[in-house]
Amino acid sequence: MASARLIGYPSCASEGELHLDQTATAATAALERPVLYGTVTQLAFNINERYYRGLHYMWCTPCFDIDLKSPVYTVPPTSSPFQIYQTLAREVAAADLHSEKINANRVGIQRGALKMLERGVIDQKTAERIQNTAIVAPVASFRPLLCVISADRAHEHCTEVDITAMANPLSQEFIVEDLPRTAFDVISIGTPQ
Amino acid sequence: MIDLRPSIAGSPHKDVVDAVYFAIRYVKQAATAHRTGKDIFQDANRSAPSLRVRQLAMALVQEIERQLGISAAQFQSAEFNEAMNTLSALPHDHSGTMTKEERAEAEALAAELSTDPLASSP
Repeated sequence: MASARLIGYPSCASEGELHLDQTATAATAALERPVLYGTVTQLAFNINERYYRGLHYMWCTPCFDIDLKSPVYTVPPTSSPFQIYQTLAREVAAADLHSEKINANRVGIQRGALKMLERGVIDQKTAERIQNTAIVAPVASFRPLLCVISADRAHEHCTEVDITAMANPLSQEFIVEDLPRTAFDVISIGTPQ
Repeated sequence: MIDLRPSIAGSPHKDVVDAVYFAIRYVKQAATAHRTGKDIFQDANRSAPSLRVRQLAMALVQEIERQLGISAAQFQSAEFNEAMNTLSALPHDHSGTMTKEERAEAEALAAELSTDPLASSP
């Protein structure tokens, strides 16, 4: 039985086939799917483009959103690119100064600057500037962007997140690092009501 | 009000930022960690945290839990928001106050970097 067929194109497989093979294939199968999705903020995206040679870091998943009815296409709500996008969009629209996601992104950007300093991509002064910018940036800087990533192009930049315990073994997440801009498209999907 | 400053006293700024990043991840996932089994310290190879950072992150989480008197897995929105706000402010508290010039420069840069990248797409 071809695992790529089961995982990549679940609609082609019967429920029985999925249960038979899902554990064995989960660790390697996700990149058999054609695209990965990730949500980033406008500020983080622009910093990567300007200061990090257009190389991007993001968490992503082959599932765009949670689907509780599907045995295959599911992802925890906290990891769903669509849910993250919606939350950020709502927090930006509300100009929420204590937004959990926005404040976490401020820290993530500061951490990214220090990592790039350590790697010699930027100098000390630039790292300080980026960190200060992440601290003072207005809420509107954190508008979400949806990244649609070519799985083929992302392959060499991917680290799979270990998900064990009782999670659906097909609920996969990846961290992509140093992903070139040419490997993904960026889209806006509007503001939620 | 949670005070984490004693927990980070003497730590290098880089470690504090790294530890706060992972402590935030811990607090966010605490309620579902038993179900997902995620290792909150997992990251891309180049960005994997050091042992010192892991210890500092867990020390921050434990200090928050101690001061709030409740485990992170049981946080309700009030505790969750307080923990997240305290953690996210910590790197700035640790690095010290920006000068007026630094703040102005950062605000100008934030304005430049807040443009919509899709607006300039062909």
